[in-house]
Formats: sequence, C-alpha cells, structure tokens
Amino acid sequence: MSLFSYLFQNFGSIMQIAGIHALLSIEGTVLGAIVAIPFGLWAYRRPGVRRFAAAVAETIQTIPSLALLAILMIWLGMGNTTLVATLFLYALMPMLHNTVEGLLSVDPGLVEIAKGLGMSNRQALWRVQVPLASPIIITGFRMALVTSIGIATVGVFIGAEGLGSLIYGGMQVQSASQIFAGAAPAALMAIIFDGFLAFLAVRAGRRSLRLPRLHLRNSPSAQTPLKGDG
Amino acid sequence: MTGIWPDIVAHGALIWQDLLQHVEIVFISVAIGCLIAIPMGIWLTRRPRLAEVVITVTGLIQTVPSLALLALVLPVLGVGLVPAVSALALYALLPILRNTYVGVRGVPAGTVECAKAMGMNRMQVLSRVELPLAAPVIVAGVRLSTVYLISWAVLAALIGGGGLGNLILEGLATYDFGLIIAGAVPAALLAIAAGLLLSWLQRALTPVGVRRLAAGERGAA
Repeated sequence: MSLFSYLFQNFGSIMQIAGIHALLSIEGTVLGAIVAIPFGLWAYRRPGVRRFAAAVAETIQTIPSLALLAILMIWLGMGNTTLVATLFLYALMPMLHNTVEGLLSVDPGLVEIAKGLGMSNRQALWRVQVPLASPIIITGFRMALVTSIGIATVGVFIGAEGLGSLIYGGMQVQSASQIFAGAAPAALMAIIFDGFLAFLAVRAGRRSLRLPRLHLRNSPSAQTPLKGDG
Repeated sequence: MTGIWPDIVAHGALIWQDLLQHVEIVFISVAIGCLIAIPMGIWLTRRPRLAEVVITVTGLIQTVPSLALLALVLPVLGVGLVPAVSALALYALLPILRNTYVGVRGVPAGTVECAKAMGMNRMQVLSRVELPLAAPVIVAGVRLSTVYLISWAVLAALIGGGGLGNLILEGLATYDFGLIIAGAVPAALLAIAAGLLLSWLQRALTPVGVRRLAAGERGAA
C-alpha cells in the first residue's frame, strides 16, 4: 500500500501535472504531424526525396533523447519550448514513414480506376489513397505519441514540466512511492492513448473500405483488402 | 558549430573513458538480452497461446517511460553498474523477443514441411531453415534494442551506471555547455554509428534467395 501513498495523498496535483504532461506530448506530436504528413503526401511519389527525408528522420530518431534535449537546450533555453521542439523532431520519423508506406500500400489498380472514373490526381489522392492509407497514417501518429509521452518524462532535466519532475524528485529523495506516482500515470497515459488510437485506426480502416465501394459499385477491386499491417 | 570542436578536445580523455564505459554497458546488456530473448522467442513459437500473452505483456512494459523504469529500479536494486545493466537488459529483451518470435513464425509452413520431408530433424530445421530465414528480423530487433539502449544508458548514469550520461547530467546541473556538448555529441554519434552498423549486418545476414525475392518489395521497419 505504501507504494500508492504518495499518489493518493497528492492525487489532485498529480492529475494536474499529468494533464500538462499530456498536453506537451500532444503538442509536440501534432506539430510533427503538421509537417510530416503533408510532406509525406508530397514526397511519396518522389523516391529520391522520400529516401533522403527518411534517412534524415531516422538519424534524428537514433539520437539519445537526453542528448537531443541537452543540445537543443543550448539554443532554445530551459523549459517547455525545448521539450516540445524535441518531441516534434522525434515525431517526424514514424509519421513520415507511415504516411509514405500507407500511400504506397494502396493498390495502384484502384487509383487507375478512380482516374478512369474521371477523378483528377488530386481527387484520387484525397478520395481514394488517403482514406485507404488512413489506418497506417493513424498508426504512425500513435507510435509518435506513445514515444513522446515517454520522452517527455526526460524533459525534467531541461526544466520542462510534466511527470518527470515527480520521478526525478522521487529518485533524489529515494521515495519509491513518489517515483511510482510519476511513473504510473505516464505508463497508463501511454497505454490509453495507444489503445484509443489503435481503435481509431481500425475504425478508419472500416470506413475507408466503404468509400471506394460507393464510387465503384460492383468492381472487384473494391473488395481488395488493405495490405498494410501497420 | 564552431564551438563544438574545442569542447570535444578539451574533454578528450574524459569523453573517451565515458564512451568506452557507455559501449561496455550497452554491449553487456544487449548480450544478456540476446542470450535470454532469442531462445525464449524460439520456444514461444512452439506455444502460440502463451506467446500471445507474453507479447502483449512485453508490449505493455515497453510503454513504461524509460526514466520511470530506471527510477523504479533504484529503490529495488540500489545504485551502481549491476542495477543499471539489469534494467537495460530487461528492456533489451523486449524488441529481441518480439522479433525472434515474429521472425521464426514468419517462416512459411511449406518451407518447414519441405525441410522435414527431406529428412531434417527438429534441430536441423531450426538451425538450417528457420533461424537463417528469420535472421534479418531478429537482427532488426537487436538493432532496435541497441539503439534504444544507447539512449537509455545515458539516463542510466542517474543510477550510477556511468557512461556519457555523466557528462550530460553534470553539464545540465552546472549549466556548462561545454560538458553538455562533450557528452551529447559523442552519444548521438555512437547511436547513429551503431544503427548503421547493425543495418548493414541485417542486410548481410539476409539469405541470398530472400534478398532476390524481396528485391521488388520495399523494406518495412
């Protein structure tokens, strides 16, 4: 029971800290999505650009979180801004990768049919490719968000707010109960967002299958299952 | 950018010492992870129902933030190299276990049947057919673990694990940009180099036949 004591005694303020933690994580991930997803839509047809961008994003991904936070801190200073900028950088790779993979996984035959029905390239992209790719794109967002919830705990070392402050504070006073009060909400938050976005991805998959059928009536290609396994 | 070199040179000896220690911690942890996770992953392919449970649980453990897991080790195991390596090895298990399981399961049933029909026994099927075909996936797991662990080992300095994290944390605590650069830049380069090396190994271990088959396909991470 003693493990829970800190959590119960400070429940209100811990929830508040958890709220800030969630907001910062979402902020970084959404900023990443705003850049990575449109870029993926543009780059997926350009193998050279795509590979170069993927290599850059993957290299950023490899850099240890505390190292990247510390380096960015030198330019951006202590605080939440540096954390959000770091989360933004880490969010790029999964979302760029999944946007490109998602679009490439769409059966080219379906795109041909859409064009045969008189759709422009743009219409085929938005009405056929993006809906069919959406489960994989959402999965990219999900991976990025779960990662960023974890990395946000490290933000405490560069003076950012969030659950890391409870964990690090608990380490300094050697209180397992305080560490747990920071660790448990962070893990739970990651699991909840993970489950919720997995559910959204499945739902988007079902909805997108209805869409081409609407346009293509009885064409056999409309029954083509999604190839992506996200 | 001009500021980086002087910082690196000024702390040269210290960086070298911490870098070696960092590599040592990561190497030992990944090695322990492989020794446990690869046999366990193979064993699980023979027990699909148990495997589902284990894979789900490992997935859940992976959602626990790195700092949180390291912090929770502190009250249980204390401070030092052993607790740090234990926490890191535990985490290294997960991607390797998952990929070993997925990789071995991914070998087509027909291929295994063929091997058996040719008179191979179970060990031969495993060592000559299943493991070689699963090797690229397993190495991908090892690569993921290694890259994660280089990142985690930076934080392991908090619980006395040593390594490049010492420089970064000390730099952050004293607001000494030179120390931060001296720790962060080598840590980043180490992670990138390890990632590239293991990507290369992954390609090198892909059997020629599989490579030819996959030539038309795009590689998935």
